[in-house]
Amino acid sequence: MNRVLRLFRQRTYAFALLLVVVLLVLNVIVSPSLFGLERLPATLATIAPFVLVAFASTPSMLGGGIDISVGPLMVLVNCILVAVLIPAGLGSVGIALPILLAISAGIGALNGVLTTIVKINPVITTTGMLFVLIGVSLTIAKTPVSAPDNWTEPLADTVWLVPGAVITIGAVALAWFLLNRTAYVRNLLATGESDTSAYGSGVNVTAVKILSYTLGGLFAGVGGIALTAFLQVSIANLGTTYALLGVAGAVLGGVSLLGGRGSMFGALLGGLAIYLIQQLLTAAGVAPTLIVLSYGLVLVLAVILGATLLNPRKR
Amino acid sequence: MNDRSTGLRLTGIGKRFGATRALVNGDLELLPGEVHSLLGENGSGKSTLVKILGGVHRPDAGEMRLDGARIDLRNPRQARALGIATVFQEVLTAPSQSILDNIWLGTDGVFARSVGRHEQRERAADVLGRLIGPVPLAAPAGELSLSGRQAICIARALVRDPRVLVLDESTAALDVQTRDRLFEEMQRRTAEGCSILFITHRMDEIEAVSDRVTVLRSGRTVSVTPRADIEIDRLILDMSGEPRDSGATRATRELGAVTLRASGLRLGAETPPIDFELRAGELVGLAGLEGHGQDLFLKRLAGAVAGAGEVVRLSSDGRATTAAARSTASRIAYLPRERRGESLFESLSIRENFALPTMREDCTGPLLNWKRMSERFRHHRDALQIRLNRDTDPISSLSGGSQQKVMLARWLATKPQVLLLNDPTRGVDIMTKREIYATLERLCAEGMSVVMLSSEVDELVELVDRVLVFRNQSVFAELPRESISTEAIVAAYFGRGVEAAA
Amino acid sequence: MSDHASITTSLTTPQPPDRWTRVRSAALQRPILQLVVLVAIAVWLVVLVPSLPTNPRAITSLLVVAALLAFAAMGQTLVVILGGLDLTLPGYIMIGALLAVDGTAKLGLPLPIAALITVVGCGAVGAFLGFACHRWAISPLVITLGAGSVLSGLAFFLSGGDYGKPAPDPLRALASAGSTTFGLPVPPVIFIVLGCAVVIWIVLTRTSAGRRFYATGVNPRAAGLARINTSATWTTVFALSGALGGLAGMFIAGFGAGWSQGMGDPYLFTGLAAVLVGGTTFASQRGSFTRTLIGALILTLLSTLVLAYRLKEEQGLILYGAIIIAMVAIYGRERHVRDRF
Repeated sequence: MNRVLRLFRQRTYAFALLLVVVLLVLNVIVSPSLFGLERLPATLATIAPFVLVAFASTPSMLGGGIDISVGPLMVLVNCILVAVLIPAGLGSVGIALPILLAISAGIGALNGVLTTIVKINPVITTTGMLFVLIGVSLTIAKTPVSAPDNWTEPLADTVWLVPGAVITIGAVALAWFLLNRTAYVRNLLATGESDTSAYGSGVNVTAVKILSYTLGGLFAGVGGIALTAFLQVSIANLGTTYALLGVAGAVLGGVSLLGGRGSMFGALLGGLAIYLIQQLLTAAGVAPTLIVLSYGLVLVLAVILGATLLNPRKR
Repeated sequence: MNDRSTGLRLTGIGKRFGATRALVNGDLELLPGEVHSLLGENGSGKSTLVKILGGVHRPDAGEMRLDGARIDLRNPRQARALGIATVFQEVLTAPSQSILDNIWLGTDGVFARSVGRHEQRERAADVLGRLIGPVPLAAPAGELSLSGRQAICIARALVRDPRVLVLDESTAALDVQTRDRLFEEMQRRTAEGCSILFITHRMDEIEAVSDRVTVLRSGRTVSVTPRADIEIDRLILDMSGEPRDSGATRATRELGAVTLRASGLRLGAETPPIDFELRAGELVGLAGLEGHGQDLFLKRLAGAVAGAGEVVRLSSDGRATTAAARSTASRIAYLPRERRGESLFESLSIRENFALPTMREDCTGPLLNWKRMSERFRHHRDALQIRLNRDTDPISSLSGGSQQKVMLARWLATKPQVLLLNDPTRGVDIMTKREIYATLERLCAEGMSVVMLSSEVDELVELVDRVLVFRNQSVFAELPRESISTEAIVAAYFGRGVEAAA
Repeated sequence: MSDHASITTSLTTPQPPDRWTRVRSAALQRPILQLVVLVAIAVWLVVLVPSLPTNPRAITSLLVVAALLAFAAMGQTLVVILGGLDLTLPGYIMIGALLAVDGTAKLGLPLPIAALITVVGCGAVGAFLGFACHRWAISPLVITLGAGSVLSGLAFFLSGGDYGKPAPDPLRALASAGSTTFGLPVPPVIFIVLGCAVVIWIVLTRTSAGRRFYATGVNPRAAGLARINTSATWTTVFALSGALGGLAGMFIAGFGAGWSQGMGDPYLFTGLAAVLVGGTTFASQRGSFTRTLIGALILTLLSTLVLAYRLKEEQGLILYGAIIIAMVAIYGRERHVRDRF
């Protein structure tokens, strides 16, 4: 038993993996057609925003900070694409994609600068940014705007036999994989765990941290595109919903709020777990009035379980 | 004769932090191939000078020259790039990351790796191995003891083959074996032309390794002494402006009734049980290499950590109370080792820091009476000779030694019968140390029981009635008064007995 | 002999901070910047809407809105001082509203009993959360998020989705802009909030429990070793957050035209904004509810300003965000890594 526990503690994503496996099994039992081949791309397209918002929350957390504005940023990108770019004739993939990613990465970078150079507490910075982004989203598209046919549609379906969601999630995963082959991720983890150690040893802590927020913004941009693909409508009100889902997903996946521990793989599992919980409750016929309650309960239990058995931190 | 333009030269360095002038006129000359020791009390500007060398702070005045060329270090990265490697006083590791990554931390750019993985492993294994023997490099750094983690920090500096190596009190956290290996490594490096700036509070180390010694006092360089002329008494005079107390002999103490009894205490799963009795008026020392159980034993006595065995305090009328960390009824006071992490509330005022455990005494009804708090504090402040401006200033404005005295006052205010001290003079300047020793003597004379864990053998030799030396989570040797000497204690660290004085 | 003494003193007595440093640190201790901003915005508003000072009804409405916001943020202030964050607030508000409306209308509970149940129930949930966070070293962020969902969901479930009923009259009287307290043309809720502010201020600055509470936030490890019962502190603070949040929910239900699903959500972030704009930072001894009050006033006046300029609510949100960041950038910046060495 002790060995098993040690394994869980060393691999931060282990608990989320277990959770996902259990939930997958339960989900398949309750609704076997959910992961059937014909429905798979659509299911994956629904999952993509959950995973991507968890992805977007992770780099800043690994670096010892936090970014709760990635959810509203995703929604903003969705609104900009549907309510601004497409109607203005700038909706083609060659034009819209770079613009959207530049905007989202830029906002991430702004968060990074405010947190690292101006030295405002990241919870405060990103809460302020959350307000700003939700306000801007609502200004652009107060009521839902429907999108005409556009290039994002296949991302909710398939692109040459590959489910679109795999492309969006895969793009981010690939980017992180490449980053991992450089020294960046190691620098980031060390900075997150002890920024005095990193700084004193000669790490460029400022650059590392700003970059982590920029990456978060960039990933949120991809998330916004995936969200558009799936919704085909701009819904500015989703901002607050996604705001905390990202952090919840990352934390469930083993990313530590204190920094220095966790992985993107864990974030993927955490985002997936959150989706599966909600899906299971809906499919199992839990009364709609009880879904929110049950979801919250599972979250609370998962956190306590994770903390007591699997990741006891010395107080 | 050395070419005067080589080496690292600091002239007229000044640095202020807000209203405090940490350095006024600091001069330092480091020649290639020498081990240069830097001595100074807390508040002398020593740590600021080190941080300037490390690139953490920039001086307001003065200049730094490396091989004749002026340098301006804006951050630690630049310092490293110029070949100046600093091992700071605090053990700086990222515990969840691997030992290998910790050793190579900071050598890469944000993305680019400067050295390939394979070579990283080889060189890290080589350097670290010479300090603490073979260690699995993939293990998380947090698994090593404090001494091991300090060795990682030293290895981090060494692995870059620096021209200038700064060791800021690096030996404080090292166990004796590792320290000796470090000295060997230092010799090897200086033979190759590296300059080493070595900072320590321990006189025996100064005598052992220094080619020259610079003394700082109140932010100024006061003297530079070559090896041949080193005299400890002279150095102490330079540091403090005061002559050293001629070898204080341990006062004979009258011991009273048993005040604390520990029975069957086990520090580990399969270690032998420890029984211990403490009498009124006694000053008992705890010693041992880092991580051998003395720290845990003290915390068990304090009730701060739970475990097998029982600790009981016996009051004068014979009643027994079990020790528990938070209960005032147990009248056992514990002063923790890490001032910043475990004792101080830095943004709170001095008087509040003092009063926290005993605040109820300052209350009239439900409300606090600040005047009474200041009164109570003044009583202890006078007794301990704490120098400060206003007791409403934040405690961060005091020097380390003064802060420690306030902490001592905090616990003395709880009117304990048993006082447990965990390395109380760590990071405290010499003069304040003496004052603390005098206080402890007085307390014992008044009948208090004191248990003091110390990593400085000299201190133990000077103060205690008996010493428990720990080895492998149990008491290896208990040295009574007559047998206490530096040699005996250090021998016991390594599991060797010394012939008992006949 | 005197030389010896003077060397000694010059060596170890810390230099007295100069005048400017003293003034500056005293200024930072008090919410001076916030008061300046508040006055500036108030003046701006009066210049824009000159009829405002002569319209007591409008002023009272403003004050009531600010009071409700401050009330909702009361518990959060305490949690932030402790170094945490309580995201359960929307849930507490919903439960309070549920008991105020459905509790009285459908179950026939007298209002004081409904209030008691709210306080005890929400307080118990909060106590559990605080205890759990301390006991198992959990960051409050995700667990309170989950708990908030549980309580919101519970309120949703118990109400059966029916939000039609209005709050009972006595409750509405407490918060309505036209009400009076003992003949004074000021709604009772304002006095209640002010009264709470005074009590909290006394407890935090003048009792040993208050000082020990601050110490727990500033350095939890040292607090435990200094014989402070940190477990009890966490449990109590979160329990208070729960009880106060629940009560806030009751008042909020009494203020509007009833209650609705998701009614509590805006109070979470806007309440946090009020705390931050007021100048309370995480785990700092510089926090207080007085600051939150000022922060709530600033935000409320700001939204009125937004309305006066005929800007939309969304644009008000953008202003909120900008002002949070601006305020903290001015007074509440953290230290550079080099200063934490």
